Amino acid sequence: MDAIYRITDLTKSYPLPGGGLLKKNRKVFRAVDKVSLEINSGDTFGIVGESGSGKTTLARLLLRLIEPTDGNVYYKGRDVFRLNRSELKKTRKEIQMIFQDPYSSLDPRKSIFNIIAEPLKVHKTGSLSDIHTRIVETLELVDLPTSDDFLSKTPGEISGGQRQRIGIARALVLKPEFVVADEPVSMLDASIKAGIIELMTQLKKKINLTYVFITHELALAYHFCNRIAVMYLGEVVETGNIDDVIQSPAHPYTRLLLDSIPPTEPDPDWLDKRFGKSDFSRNAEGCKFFVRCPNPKDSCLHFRPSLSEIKRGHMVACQLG
Amino acid sequence: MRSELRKIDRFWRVYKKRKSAVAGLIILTVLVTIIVFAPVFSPYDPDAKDAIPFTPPGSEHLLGTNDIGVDILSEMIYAGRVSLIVGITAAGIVVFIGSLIGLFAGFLGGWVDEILMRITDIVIILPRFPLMIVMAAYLGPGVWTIIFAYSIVGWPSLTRQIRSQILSVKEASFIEASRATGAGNIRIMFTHVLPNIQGIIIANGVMEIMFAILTEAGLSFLGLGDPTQKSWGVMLYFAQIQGAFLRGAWWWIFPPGICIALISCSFNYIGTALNDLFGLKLGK
Repeated sequence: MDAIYRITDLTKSYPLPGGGLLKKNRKVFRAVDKVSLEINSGDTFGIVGESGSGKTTLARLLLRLIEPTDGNVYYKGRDVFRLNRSELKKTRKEIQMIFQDPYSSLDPRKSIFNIIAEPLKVHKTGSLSDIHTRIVETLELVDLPTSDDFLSKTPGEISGGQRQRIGIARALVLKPEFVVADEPVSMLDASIKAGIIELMTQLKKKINLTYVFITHELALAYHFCNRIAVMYLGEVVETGNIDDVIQSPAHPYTRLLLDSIPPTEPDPDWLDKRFGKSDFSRNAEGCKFFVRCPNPKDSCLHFRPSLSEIKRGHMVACQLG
Repeated sequence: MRSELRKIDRFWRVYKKRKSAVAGLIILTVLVTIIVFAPVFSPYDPDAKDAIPFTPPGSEHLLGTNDIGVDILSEMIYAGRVSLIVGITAAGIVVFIGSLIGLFAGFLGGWVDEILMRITDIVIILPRFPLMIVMAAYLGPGVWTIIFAYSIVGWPSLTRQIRSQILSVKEASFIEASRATGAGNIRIMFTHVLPNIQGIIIANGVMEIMFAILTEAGLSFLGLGDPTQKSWGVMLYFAQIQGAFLRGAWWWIFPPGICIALISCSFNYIGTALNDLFGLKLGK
């Protein structure tokens, strides 16, 4: 299998407030910290982590919606950040994104038709009737009505689940090869959520899509993905085939996440309460997970582990193994 | 189209709850109707100088006559045309300039924003009225002079408002979604950003008409208007230099003054209401 995406040492940092008048001692917050990954064609690649772990930042970097501080992203062998404007536009035709918030990701002033037509118009793919045909096809694909009445509605007039399907339709209308789904169901009710996941699973079977699926729910990733990367404070701490990672987690953080699955009504702060607060500014040295690790060693305080292979394709960034 | 009608209907239901806004709309409708159908409503030819000068209001001349025997009511109705056209044109230009500068500064950010906003800062601290007087004096009196002078100094406050609105709209994730489809800045600005602040632009545009009409009246009163195209301000200017105040010809002074006040109030009420209503919508 060939890598459709190759990410090397990708870093995105944001300056933190303070650091004196001349900002000489300004600290930075590394939202994504030296991430290296490979995503193969046909993968459904899960990126899992809690809020603030840099999942969304990584997704936005993949699509070059933001510029990185350091590192490279190769899409089909070409550096995404070196593409010129027209090359980037061409590439964007192949890479699409499904957004987290079905409410704010659709322009409230545009009709359903115009929202789904936009990608087609941007890439000038034929006449208005061609566009109409494509939109109807795509709406059928995502199980939405195709009547003119529905097409003329605005996002305010349809339900949250339908909105997210519109978001998926917008991403699929250009027939992309690669789709990044950024927590596509986290803002939906449980019943609607199941429908969307089911839809995305079917779409994967119907069209040959490579997915990057971002989520904070390990269980969801287990259900949906074949490969996974677990992120913690901007770093990938473990990556591998989903079964390897879930059944024999090697990093203590992955184990923690697994332990957290059972409660149906999880307390959002349970991690902080149980293991102390993450220190976001800690990027000097040592393992980032140190403060929360259930069995840290002294050496963890000074040594930052990098990803190393413990089994073919299963990599972990923890010296305890 | 049906959804548009539904939107207008929903809007009207909120709008009509505001008494001042409805009052403003009624006053404005009445004034504009009279002004637009001036030939129907004016009893005399506004240029006919055949009545007895300084006739007080009476049955023949409802609002009396001026120093050269022109019927004040007729003159006033026709003068409304000039005031309104100047006001709307000047406001239109200001809204156009202000929106574009605000759009580019707010959306593009960085050095574009820096340069445009520094220019805005400079224009905003200029003393507006004296500067307009100087400009009008150099360019010679006239309708276009007033429109030009107002356009030059009138846009900065609107620009700042538009810019601040854009700063919040551009964070919406539908903007990023549009970028992800491959859309460029210009497309995003004109198909997503601008339509989403159009309410604010309309509301501010209505307010700008009020400011423009008041400014026109002020400049004209000082003699910088076009004496051949009488606006309400020009009427007041003539009343002043032809001794209406000395002769106690109140019927020459009050009517145009009241018209300016009424039309300004109505635009103000409508503009304030629109600003509130559209502001609420944007938060949703």
